[in-house]
Amino acid sequence: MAAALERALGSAGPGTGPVPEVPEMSEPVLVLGPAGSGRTALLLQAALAGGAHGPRALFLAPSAVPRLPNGGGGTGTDPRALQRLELRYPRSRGSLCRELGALSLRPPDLLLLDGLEQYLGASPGGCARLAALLLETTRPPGPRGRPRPPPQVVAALRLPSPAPHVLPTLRRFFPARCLLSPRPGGLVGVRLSRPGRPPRRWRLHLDPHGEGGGEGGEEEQEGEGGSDTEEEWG
Amino acid sequence: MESWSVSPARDESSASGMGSTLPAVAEELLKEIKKAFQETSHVPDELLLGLRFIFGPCAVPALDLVDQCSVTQVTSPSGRTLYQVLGNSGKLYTCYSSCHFCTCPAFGFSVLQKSVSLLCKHILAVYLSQAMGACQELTVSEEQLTSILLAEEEEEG
Repeated sequence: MAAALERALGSAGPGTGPVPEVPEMSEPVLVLGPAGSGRTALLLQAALAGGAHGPRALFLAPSAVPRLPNGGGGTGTDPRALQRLELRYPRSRGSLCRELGALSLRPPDLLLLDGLEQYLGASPGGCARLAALLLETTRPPGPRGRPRPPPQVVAALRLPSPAPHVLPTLRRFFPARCLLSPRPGGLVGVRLSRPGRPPRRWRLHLDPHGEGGGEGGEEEQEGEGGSDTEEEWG
Repeated sequence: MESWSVSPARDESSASGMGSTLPAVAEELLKEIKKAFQETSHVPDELLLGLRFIFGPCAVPALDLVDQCSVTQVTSPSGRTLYQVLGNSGKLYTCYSSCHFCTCPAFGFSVLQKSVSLLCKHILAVYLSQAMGACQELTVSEEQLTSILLAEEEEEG
């Protein structure tokens, strides 16, 4: 999935050297960040960044998004990208599971789940079950089915995590993680780590209310800014 | 394919058939078990010892489950698949295809909470049944397969 996020975050900034080409991968990504760090905006940006040729995206969240990036159809947002975005708001874990169960026959190209912390169960088993269900219901069918690329899955979790077991459990299911760290001046440091690849960093403006996109997608240098490891958030 | 860690996240190209990543040594062992079983209908003692060494105390109970033909591959017309394993208690547990997840209590405790086991015996039984061609097969409708996936969620409300 990292491809959709990387598209939203922008290309590498100056001084970072060429980005090596890697095969398209579909590992699920967990977006982590404290309240107001722009998790929702980043997810929506990932859905819309591909423009007219972007993915058919499904955005799931426990409550309605106040505004879409760039005002939802304003300048900078391709209306055809908006047509490819479906927003749904399952209020409870049970409703979310039913949404996921219904995906199996026609999964989207990109599944975005915001507010993961509101759906996780109290136990490690409940937490793992939801993460596993996300992966299972978006898995492409086996040999009998029509071959298609696996959907990209991105889930966002607010930090600090609701319980000590949550991050260790979710790491089992989300090998790629994107950590958002607020910086002075309304900027957000973004650190995308994928297995087997060096982490990439950006510093950009993400509106915490879902408005505005990844403006100024400048790649951040190592060691800039404040806390940017998941461990610091427990 | 990139390979990394022991993370059970999905990997569609896994040699073991389930869409999950096992440590390379475990993948290799399962391949050898499959090859040996295809050639001789028997698993040599040294491979059984390797199984015990890598998977610890769940190896023998998993082999028992295979002997009892306890693993059923459930498939829908679209090709979606999951596994159901009949536990010794008579309870049916569901193992997912896309990642290492089992609905049994041991998975939650030994694998997730304590991290003392790589897998539970039911997931290992799925791997072994695949390697030894011992999976029962069951075709269900898409709706039935979804019901199995969501069964315990529905019970929990």
